[in-house]
Amino acid sequence: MPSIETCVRAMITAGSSLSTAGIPDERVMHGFRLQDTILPAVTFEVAQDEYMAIGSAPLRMASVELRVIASTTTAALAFESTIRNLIVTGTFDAIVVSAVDFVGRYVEPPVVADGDETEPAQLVCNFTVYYKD
Amino acid sequence: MAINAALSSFSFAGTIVAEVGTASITMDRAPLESTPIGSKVRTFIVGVGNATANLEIFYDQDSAQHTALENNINTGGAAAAVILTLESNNTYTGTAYVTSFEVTAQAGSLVRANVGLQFTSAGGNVDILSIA
Repeated sequence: MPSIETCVRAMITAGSSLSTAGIPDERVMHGFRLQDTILPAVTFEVAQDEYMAIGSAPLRMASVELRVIASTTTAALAFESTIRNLIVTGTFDAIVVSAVDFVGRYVEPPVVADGDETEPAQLVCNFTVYYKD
Repeated sequence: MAINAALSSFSFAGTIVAEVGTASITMDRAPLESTPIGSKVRTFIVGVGNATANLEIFYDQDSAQHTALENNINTGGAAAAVILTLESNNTYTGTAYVTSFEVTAQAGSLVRANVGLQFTSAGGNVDILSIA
């Protein structure tokens, strides 16, 4: 059944631009990725979903946080323009996205955690999707 | 029992307006003072009824319902039937002109329009609006 989560995933994986850029569709995951999976990868979450209009088929707004996870900051940043170009209006998994707004992004650099374990860099993109079921 | 706005709609000239964020109707009937000279306490008689409606819509010039509202004020069109439906069998019905139309495009937000409507008597009406 279509949902805003499946819609966002379909939007990000539409065409083959992300895959061509180096992140195949199977590495686009909702929520989390396993620590030992291949990088780069994308995870996303729908942080908030609310009604914008009255009526039985109202306009809705979803806030999405998308993370491009890569071994280095440069490798994560390399996907920024691809991600921006993928966040567009259209119909994705039977859900009509009528407007999108790229709110902003920031970078979490790779850090060394406990011991000698290194956490990868993350490009965090926030965007808003306005849609109808 | 409370009513969920998911069951609500606003129609103008017989067509439901799309992408309405907020719809409101305000009725007022300011009392007329009838205090006699020398009286120590004010007295009033019932005043003249009035009603206005206000819409906040997510404006799209490609929407025929939105341009119908806009054209009503732009061309000085005739008053048209207005119905605010809260839910089935919970409606406010009247005849209104569009008296204001304000479009706002703000960074990081959807384009919105605030629409003001003034109800007018359809002729010989005692009630301001039909409520049913």
